[in-house]
Amino acid sequence: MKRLFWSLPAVFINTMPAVARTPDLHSTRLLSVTPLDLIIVLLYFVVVLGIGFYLKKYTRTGEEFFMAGRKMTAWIAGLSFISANLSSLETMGWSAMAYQYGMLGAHAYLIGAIPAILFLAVVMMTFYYISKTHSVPGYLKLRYGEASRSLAGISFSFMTVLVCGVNMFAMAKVMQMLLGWNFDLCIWVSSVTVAVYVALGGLLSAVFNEVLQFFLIWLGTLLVPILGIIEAGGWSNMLATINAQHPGQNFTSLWSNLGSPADNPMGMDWTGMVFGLGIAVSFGYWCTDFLQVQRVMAAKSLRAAQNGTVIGAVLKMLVPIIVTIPGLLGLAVLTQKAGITLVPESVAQTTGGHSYNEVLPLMMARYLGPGLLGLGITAMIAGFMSGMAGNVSAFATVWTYDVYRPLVNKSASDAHYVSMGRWSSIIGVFIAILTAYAAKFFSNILIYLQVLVMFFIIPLFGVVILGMLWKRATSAGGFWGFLAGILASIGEFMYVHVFPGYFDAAHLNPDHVRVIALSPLAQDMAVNMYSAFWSLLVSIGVTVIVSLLTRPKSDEELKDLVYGLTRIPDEGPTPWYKHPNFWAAVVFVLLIVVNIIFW
Amino acid sequence: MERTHRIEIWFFIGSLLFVYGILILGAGLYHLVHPPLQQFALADLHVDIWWGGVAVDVGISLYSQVLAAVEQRGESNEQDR
Repeated sequence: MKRLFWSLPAVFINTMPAVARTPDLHSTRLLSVTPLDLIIVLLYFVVVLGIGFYLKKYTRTGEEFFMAGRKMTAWIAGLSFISANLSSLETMGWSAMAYQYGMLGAHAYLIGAIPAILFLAVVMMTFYYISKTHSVPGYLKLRYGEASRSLAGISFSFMTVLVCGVNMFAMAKVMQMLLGWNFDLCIWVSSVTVAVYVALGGLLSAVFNEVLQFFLIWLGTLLVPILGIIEAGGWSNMLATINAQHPGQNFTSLWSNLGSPADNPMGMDWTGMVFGLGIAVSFGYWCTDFLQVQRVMAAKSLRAAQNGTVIGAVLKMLVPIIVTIPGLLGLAVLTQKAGITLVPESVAQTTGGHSYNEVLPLMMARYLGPGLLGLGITAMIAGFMSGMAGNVSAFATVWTYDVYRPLVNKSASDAHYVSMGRWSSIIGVFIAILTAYAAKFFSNILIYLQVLVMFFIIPLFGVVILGMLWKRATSAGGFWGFLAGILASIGEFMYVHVFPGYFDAAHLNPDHVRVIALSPLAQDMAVNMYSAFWSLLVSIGVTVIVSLLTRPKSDEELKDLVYGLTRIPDEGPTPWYKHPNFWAAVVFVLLIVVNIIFW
Repeated sequence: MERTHRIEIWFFIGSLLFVYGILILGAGLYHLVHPPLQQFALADLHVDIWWGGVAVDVGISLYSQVLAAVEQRGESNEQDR
């Protein structure tokens, strides 16, 4: 019996889809649904489409369509910010990661997210918000000029629709595998729904559905860890069972097994985790991926944007409850109580066993009866669709404001740009559908799409952060630093996959891995983290060198764009307990405590 | 052109969760009398009953927030007049 099909996430980037490399169809299904479950799923589609139609009349201007009118409260901005990242690929992929690697997978929610989110809240959001830009490429235009904006705008547009297509493909495959649903039907129903509600309601509609999705994911998934821990006999018993089943291996620590690449199955030590994940990947993704940043830029004030981001950090830290714990419970409960041992995907396909990727659906199938299972499936569908909608709404904004307006039609009316936004949403979905079918028929494409985000986002962070904190950075420095970082990322990817006489994107050359990741034992994830860090250094280094050789902008030109030249708006007296810096400090202390507890 | 005040997001979420809660709670009560054919771990906890109740409770709480906001807005409009 063949099983789920996607590989484990290639990197610790949270939007990075864990997608299929084998497009074969499967006739068996993991979950059986009842009419009640289908009614629950159907109700979800009715509500999201209804929201799209309802919100159309509130999204007539560009500011309303692309930035949701900049009226979001801190809570809605924070929920949307974190929900845009909480896709079903993430919950399923990282549960599988926890089953395979234990608690190490939780780093994606701790050092791999929280410091960067807090940095965005306390430092970078000020510049994004005060500059009143519509997008991250828009900030590049103000700070570095048109060339940098165009490079970022085009690369981001290209990237988002492809990632949307991967999400679409993965959703159809997951639904086909779990429920036996038709692949084409899944693609078209999900894509038409997303196209309709984003084209009608723009970012506002996407945000509404993301907040809805947040509640559905928690309500549909939280029962798994609750019931799992009850069945395992409590937290301590769960850990004891895992340790007893895996003598000599440490599945229940965050840091104590990161002393050397040989001490853990990831083939990574603490330097890769701290510098690769904690700095390069995390800051690149959370601080400069416009898909994320757009949600909090739409807040009603700078303080709401900052507080919303801090709220997002707290919510992010809670996600391991529904992701990591089910994976660990799989180790304890599935093996002990159900006699099921999960295996790598390649083994599952040849032996007919269950793969790591099935841990969350298996746990759902174990506990959730009719009705509850429908809620769980709805949560999965909502997670996939909000991931698609997030990409489409971000694409529409960047395409319209950062590609179409500056390069094609500079002087059209606001209504024209709104119309372009609506049409680009539909066209973006159509390109994503083509990508999904390309992924179905040419599975190797997925390998490239998995690393696509890293090629652009990490170097972008180096350039943006220098632009915000160093007024000496010049337009030429920004452009060449960004370009050099992209080329370095691509070059590193090619290098680790080159073998004498041929190129194989599916396998790593240990001799080259040793150069990039400092150990021949490094696996995909470790290689990606080190690559990200080197790319970041290249983009920062080239930006600095070229800036020092070229003429800087005047202070007047850099007003409200750079640290030291930006006036923070007075939003009235704020009690200490409402200040984002206070809550950021509280969350940071909490992060340290969690890391110490699970050291 | 004056547009009507937008319905709060919590209304949509509260309504959907309430309906979901009622459906799941109803299914749970039905299964007390007619247990499902398929066996589930910890079925004796009747988790669908209390989880359906949680969904109803969350739905009503969110809906109450919307009502409170509407009433507050109404009062401030009265004062403005």
